[in-house]
Amino acid sequence: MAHLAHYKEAHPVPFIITHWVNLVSMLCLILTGFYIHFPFVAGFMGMARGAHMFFAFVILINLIVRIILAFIVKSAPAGGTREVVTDYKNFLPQKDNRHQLGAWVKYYLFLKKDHPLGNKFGVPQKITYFAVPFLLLLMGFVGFCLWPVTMFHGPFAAFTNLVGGLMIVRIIHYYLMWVFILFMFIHVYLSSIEGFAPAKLMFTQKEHGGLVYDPEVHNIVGEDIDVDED
Amino acid sequence: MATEVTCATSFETMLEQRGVTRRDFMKLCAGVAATLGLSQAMVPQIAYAIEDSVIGKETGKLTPVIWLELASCTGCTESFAQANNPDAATVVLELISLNYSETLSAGAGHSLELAKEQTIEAGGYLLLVEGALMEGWDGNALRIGWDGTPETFEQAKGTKIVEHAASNAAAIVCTGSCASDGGWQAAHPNPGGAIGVQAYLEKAKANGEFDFDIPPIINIPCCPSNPEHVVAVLVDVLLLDTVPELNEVNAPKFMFSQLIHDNCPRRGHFENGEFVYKFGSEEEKKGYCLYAVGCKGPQTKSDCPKVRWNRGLNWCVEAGAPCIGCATINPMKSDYNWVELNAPFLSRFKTLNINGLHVDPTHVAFGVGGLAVAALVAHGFGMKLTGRTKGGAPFETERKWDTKHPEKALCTADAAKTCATAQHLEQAAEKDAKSSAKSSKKSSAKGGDK
Repeated sequence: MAHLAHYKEAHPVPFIITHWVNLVSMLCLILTGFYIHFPFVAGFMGMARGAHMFFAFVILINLIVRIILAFIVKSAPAGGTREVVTDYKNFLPQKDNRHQLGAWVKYYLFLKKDHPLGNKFGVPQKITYFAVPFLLLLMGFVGFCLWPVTMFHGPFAAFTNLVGGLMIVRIIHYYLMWVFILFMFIHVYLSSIEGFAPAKLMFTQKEHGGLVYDPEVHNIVGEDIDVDED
Repeated sequence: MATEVTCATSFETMLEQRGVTRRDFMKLCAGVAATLGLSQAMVPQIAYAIEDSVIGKETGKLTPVIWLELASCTGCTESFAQANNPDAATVVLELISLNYSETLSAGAGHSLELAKEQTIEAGGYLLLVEGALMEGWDGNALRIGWDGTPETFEQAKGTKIVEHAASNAAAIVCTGSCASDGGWQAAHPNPGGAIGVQAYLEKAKANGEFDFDIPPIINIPCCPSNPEHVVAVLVDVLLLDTVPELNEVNAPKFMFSQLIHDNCPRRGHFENGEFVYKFGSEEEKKGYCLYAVGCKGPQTKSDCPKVRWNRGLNWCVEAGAPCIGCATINPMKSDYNWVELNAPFLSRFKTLNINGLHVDPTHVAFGVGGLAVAALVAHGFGMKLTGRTKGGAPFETERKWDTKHPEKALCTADAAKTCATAQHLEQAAEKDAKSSAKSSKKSSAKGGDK
């Protein structure tokens, strides 16, 4: 068994909920977004726009809640441990990941045979997750530039004017959506390509045995084979 | 008082001679008030202001107007002065002292140029610009009225003509998108270097080409400009002595700060999801929303649905044509003129110009998305071949950087093996093996003795 044990402490319940909310909102936003861009089936424009704005607010509120929770809830800094730290620390550089960016890139390019050691979030993963809140905020901002209720107000009108008009804002919004789509492709792929244990843990808190990592020692120290599968 | 009466009568006579009744005139004034967002109580004041300013009036204010025409199709003039059926607005414009206009002035040649010179010298006039300035070929892309002498060679450039006329103007009104930001003249691939009045003057001033203060600039977008808008702005500036409140692109706020979409008579069909997907279809007959055939109403700010066109007769969307967004202007960015921003007109997106290659943004997105999926699938096969799909590759025993820098190492392989937690786990495993009892090791995994 090559992978680390998957313990509930990696993804506490509040984050499992925010992750579900993110997933549902993002899928609905993308679907309704495509519809609003071009109504490929007649009959749903009012509904699609309503749902788009509803989920836009849901995902933005969820983002704020998630950020606040990051300073309250504790979670494991690495896979294979039940030790916990305040969650926000897992989105900032941590000792266990130091000097490991090259190792991760090489691993995924098949230039390195063994799996790099590190935190719960590997280096490229951590950089990406750190960028997501900013991308979401940017997406929200650009979206509000297109929403007639807000488009005429201060910063939104100024941004539209800066980039040269609503057509350009629309194209920016469209391409930002594709950034999220590509993120989801890669996210789903990388989290599942080495087995579905991480996904099961993320969605249902189902634990899975594996190697034990000690965050104090910064390395794998043993194995925990039979986690109760209750 | 007697003089007043005479004047009013003579104004009415002037109108009558041109086939406009007093009633038509008052209707025009009411329309002007509505377009400017003024109360109907202002109508008599507008009427008085117009009456008081016409040519032939001995007292009262008379603000001369210079109407310059540069790179344009004369559509704005045509739209304003429909010679076939002159109405109150046209007549009023004639009556206002239009001292110079290439199309509308009865005079021509040197005498008219002289009239223009004298007006500029006297100052305090309103400069109305129709059409774009052309900067191409050192400003020679557009030259007007050169008398052939070397001394006046520079002055005959369109750019210099505007610069000169702006020098003493009380205000500048840019009628139509071309004068506002270059308009369709600035669209690809015209090499003439079209630019709007505001951008040109600000640039020339920054370059030190002149030192007078740039007069207030009012942009009236649309291609052509709507005569109702032009009359309203003229009345506002000339007669009521105010500059209308302007938005971020220097267009009158009251006219260009609401989406066409939000006042569209087809809006109900939009919300219902009832669209025209093809011209000549049943949906088109039913008057459904034109969104799916590229209507730019949702991103274009203008009061077209309220003011309408052709003297309130009809307007594009109501007549069945999707809005092409001609009211979009970017005075300081000529390359974002309405044609560049909205073409192709029947498509939901503009085409992107990537190094001369014109592509639809959606094609780029799906192309990149497709490539990403293909790359991930290929990568997946790689992961399968290297046996990583069942739990990943075996972990490294220590970080490579640690191996190279043992003195600064975070945790060497040996340290990991000999640490207290490792030993504790090993002991627990041995105990397990001995007793062969199956027990939960949740607690042992917690990090052992810590």
